Amino acid sequence: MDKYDEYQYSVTIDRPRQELYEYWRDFENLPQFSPHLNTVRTIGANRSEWSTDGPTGPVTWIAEMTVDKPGEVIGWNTVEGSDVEMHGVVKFQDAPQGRGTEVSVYMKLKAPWGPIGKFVAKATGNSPDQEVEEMLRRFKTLMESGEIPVVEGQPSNQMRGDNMPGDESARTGLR
Amino acid sequence: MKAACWMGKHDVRVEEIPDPRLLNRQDCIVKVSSTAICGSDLHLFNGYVPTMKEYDVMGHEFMGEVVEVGPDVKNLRVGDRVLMPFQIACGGCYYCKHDLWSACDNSNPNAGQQENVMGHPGAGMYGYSHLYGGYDGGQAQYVRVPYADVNPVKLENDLPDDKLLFLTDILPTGFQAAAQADVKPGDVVAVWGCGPVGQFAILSAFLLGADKVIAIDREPERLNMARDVHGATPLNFEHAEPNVVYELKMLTGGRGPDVCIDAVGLEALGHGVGAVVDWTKQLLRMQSDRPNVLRQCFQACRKGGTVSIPGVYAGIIDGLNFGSAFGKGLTLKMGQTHVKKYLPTLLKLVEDGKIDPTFLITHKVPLSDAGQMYPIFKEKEDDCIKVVMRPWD
Repeated sequence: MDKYDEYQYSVTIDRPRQELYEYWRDFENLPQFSPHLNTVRTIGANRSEWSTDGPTGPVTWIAEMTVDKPGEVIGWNTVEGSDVEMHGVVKFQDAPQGRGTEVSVYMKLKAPWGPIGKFVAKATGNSPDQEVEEMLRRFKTLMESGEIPVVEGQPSNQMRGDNMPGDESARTGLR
Repeated sequence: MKAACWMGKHDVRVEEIPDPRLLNRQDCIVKVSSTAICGSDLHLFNGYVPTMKEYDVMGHEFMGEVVEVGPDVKNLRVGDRVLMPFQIACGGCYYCKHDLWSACDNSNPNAGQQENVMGHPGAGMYGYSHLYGGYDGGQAQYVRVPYADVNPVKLENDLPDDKLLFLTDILPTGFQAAAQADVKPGDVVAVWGCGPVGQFAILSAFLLGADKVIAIDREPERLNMARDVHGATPLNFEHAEPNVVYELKMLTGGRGPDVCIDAVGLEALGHGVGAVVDWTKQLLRMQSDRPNVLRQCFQACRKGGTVSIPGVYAGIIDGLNFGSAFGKGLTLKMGQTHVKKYLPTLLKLVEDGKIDPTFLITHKVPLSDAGQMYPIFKEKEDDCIKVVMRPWD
């Protein structure tokens, strides 16, 4: 049997603990700041359906919230029979000197299709450790500055053909 | 629109590219009235800063007029005349709230990449490589500006662009160099590099009360400017006998300068075996930065003095005499400039006529000449010290 991979990352966000907890607690907000999560849909009191693009097509799983202490911690597991096996915990703690909240994520993950899936994911820039870091970084940026900075769609990106036209402006509702 | 694009090492070209558009709800678009080539642009031009891509728009010193604002922008209107600090700040993080604007946590979309290289990421910047965010720069007819309520500084005066443009980078950078070193009345200050930042560091040191400022360079027109405009004591490092450190001691009664400012950075020229070894290692990519000036600063500075570094360093240094800095108990101050921290004070001094930065401008050209101005500026041909470009001429 495959072993779980474990990932951990921590950021300090200059916002109150309760506000951060509440935004994360609504799992449908997660795609706003998770680079490769397409949708999260609530399907019950404690259950939600998550979907992302895998190496060979869409990957979906159902997550169940297992821990919920308001303003402190949220935990979730994937339910049996999902494409992905994941255990996630996010903790919110006051930072010293009124510097906001220390937000820490711990994830245990069994990637789909074992080592091959992991290799493909790394090669396409979707390695879970980067994903966890990027997710927390974007969460911080969204909470502190009200948006996530982008460069896709700039003139130089268009000249190189490395932008995805429409993607960003669709998200921000500008065009 | 027309824009000066990085097309490879030693290759900047003015290209016709699409106009920028709003990408985020807090963005605005600025129509550029004036823009300048910065000495630090030469590090990109010379290929010393990694992660540049073809068609990246150069430039981080620019000003102009707001022509479009995003739906979430509250403090700016179309038609406002604005100065643009070279760094991009979010306004909401710990660092922005503590006047440490160049350390902004949130404005760099490639923060992850920069975190891997530096330990922690810094603010995004216009036209300064993908490590600094990959933002298109200001040597263009239009620029897309993120966090428009935070970054542009609205102007209420009708002074000409030439008096104001350098408030976006080099004037605050020269001022920070002196201010962060805590220059006090009566101090002796030595400034390595009499390019634009060095000139403003000299000006700022005198502004803060320095008794004597020693200006070090080898270009006669730059040394003359330092002497004639500011009253500095020029020191040509090529004629220093036996070396710069000895001459500095002789000019300071043996003590050494109280404050040493390195306004040169990673491409320092030098003499002797150390400089040749540095150059070879840089060529072979064994080190990215040449620390010749920094070595002299450590060696020359008085015991307990301060070395202040506005010159840009980007990577790894070999053979630095760190023991000298330790042995003499030096204080080191460095980093990208927190432009918004100093801009209001300096703007007031310009508006009151106490500083006139126009002495620096040697070349005024249309933006379409950018391609030929880069090599002229790099080689200091035609006594070139500062190039200002007009995108609509």
